[in-house]
Amino acid sequence: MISQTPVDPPRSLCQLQQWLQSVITHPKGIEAGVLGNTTGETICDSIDQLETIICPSQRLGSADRLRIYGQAYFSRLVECLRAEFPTMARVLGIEAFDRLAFGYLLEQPSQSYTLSKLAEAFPDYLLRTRPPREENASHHSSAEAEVFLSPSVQSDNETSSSPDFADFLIDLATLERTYSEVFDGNGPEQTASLHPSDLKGLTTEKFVVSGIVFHDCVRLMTFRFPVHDYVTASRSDASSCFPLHRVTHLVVTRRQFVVRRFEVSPIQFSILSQLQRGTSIGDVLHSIPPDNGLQIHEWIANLRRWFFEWTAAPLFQRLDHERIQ
Amino acid sequence: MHSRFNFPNLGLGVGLRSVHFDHILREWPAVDWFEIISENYMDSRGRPRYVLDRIAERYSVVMHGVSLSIGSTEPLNFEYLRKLKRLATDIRAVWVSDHVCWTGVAGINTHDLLPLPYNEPTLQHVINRVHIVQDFLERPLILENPSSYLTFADSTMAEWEFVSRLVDATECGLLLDVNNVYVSAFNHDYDPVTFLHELPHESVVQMHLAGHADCGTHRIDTHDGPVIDPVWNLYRIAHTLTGGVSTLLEWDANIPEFTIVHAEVKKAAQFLDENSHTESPLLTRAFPNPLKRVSKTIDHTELHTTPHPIHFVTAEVE
Repeated sequence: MISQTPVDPPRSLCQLQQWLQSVITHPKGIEAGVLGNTTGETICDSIDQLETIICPSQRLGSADRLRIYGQAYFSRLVECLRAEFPTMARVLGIEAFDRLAFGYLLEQPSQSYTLSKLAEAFPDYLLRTRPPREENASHHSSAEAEVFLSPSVQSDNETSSSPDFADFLIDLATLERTYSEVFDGNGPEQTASLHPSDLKGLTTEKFVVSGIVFHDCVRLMTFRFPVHDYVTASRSDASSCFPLHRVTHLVVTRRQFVVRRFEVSPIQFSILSQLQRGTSIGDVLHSIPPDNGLQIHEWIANLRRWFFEWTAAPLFQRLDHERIQ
Repeated sequence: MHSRFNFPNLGLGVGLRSVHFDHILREWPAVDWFEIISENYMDSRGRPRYVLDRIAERYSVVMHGVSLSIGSTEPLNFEYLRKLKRLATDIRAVWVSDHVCWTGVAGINTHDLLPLPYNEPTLQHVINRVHIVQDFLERPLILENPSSYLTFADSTMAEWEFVSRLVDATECGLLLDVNNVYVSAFNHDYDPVTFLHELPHESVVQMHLAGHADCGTHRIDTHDGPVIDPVWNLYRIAHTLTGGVSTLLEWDANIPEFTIVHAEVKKAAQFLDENSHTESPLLTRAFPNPLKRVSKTIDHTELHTTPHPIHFVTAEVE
């Protein structure tokens, strides 16, 4: 096992590490990694020379031993991506998902000490590599995911018709990634939340010029498909059908350390979005036309109920008194 | 025999995994201590960190990292070290450990525990970095022998000599992974008992136990099953040589319910009160053909037998 080489090794540790990493992370396997190695000074030109770097064991040759690390590199990280995107993996099937994940890892190898950041660019990767949108997107199957696997295909969002299966996958990945970020990011559990008593003593005039500070975990998201319902359904029924296109506004947040999500109407979404951007309560309310057919007292009752529900969620930390003139 | 660090013998612990959070918070099981994967909690501001804080109020907690990359030729990541130190302070970690390995270069983290060539320049490189890390953390670093699947022609000393000299030069501690000794010994054709005998036993602070996969031509540290008898036999020897130190079971894939994991590590109790002999009858039977029972036998062409230095935490959604 121990080499008889002199005290000074024939190559530096830096050279050896760069070589080993480039070989075991090569997308076409360690043989291609050895032959195609371009990291600085070449220390091994062929598989036949591997024994000058990697010792064989009694049972395995040098290439076999190196291959263990090569296979482990991708399978470990793909496994993590599967765990983070369980619904997407189910929709695509393991083989197609793994190939997609493999392409992502080639483009975005981990650069962090934590695996929690491994997938942060995955939805964006899907968006950039999505196939051109079909003119008639009425029929979809997981086989269509195959077109994702060609990284040369570029986005064609502007010439699109109706959302297609690729859009559905992108929405799904975006939601599942958001779940991860909300789950482990800042939440409302150890921060004060807005309480109705906070409004006591506040005049209407001061109230309407105030803003609202949201909890960091609150994400307001628009999807082209009701992917949240799909995720929920797929947990209990692996054969969930591909959903019909429906623009869906979601609030994703956290309470008691568990991620919660609920759908809101377009008008509710507009109110929340403006408030989150820092627009004053009065300006937001002025910008929103009352629902068609609603009497003013019904409109006010709706607003009261919504704010009660959003406060209870809890979406809000506090009123932004800095805005009060 | 007493550790040179005066670290307590914490008893028999279990690796904290997120699938067991609910059980632990509900039952508060009679576990002696927990070990966490440091990187899963360093940035957490959600449930993992909340649960860890609750657990740290009731149990001793040790931090075990997988991304320090002490053997890498990349510069040390001081942002990482700052977070590591802060977490250790926050949860009053009894000690902080990682591996004698490297995890990546050129800005990439492979999330694997890659082996080092055991020679003089590498040893000096690692010694220098251990000094820096210990100075920064203001505590001794505890380093584990990893499982490995290849050896380098550039090595000029055995792994145990490398580790022993590293300990001598830096006064770091050792986390002796008995399963890793077994796995690496098989993979590299050496005697695991020799490895155990050659270590500086007074520097062993902790031991790891785990299951692994037998792939015929090699063994892989999968952390996906119970501890096999030959590894228990090595543990018996290590216990005798070290005088007994904190012992922990790792289970990172196909994780069963908590009671099963806990029961597995409690099997170690039978060795704690024994005046066992190094050359036990069990050991004699165990080597060189030790596989009376294996945790998992896998065709060596199987592509998805993945070494498991990692544990991924998934989101909990209502």
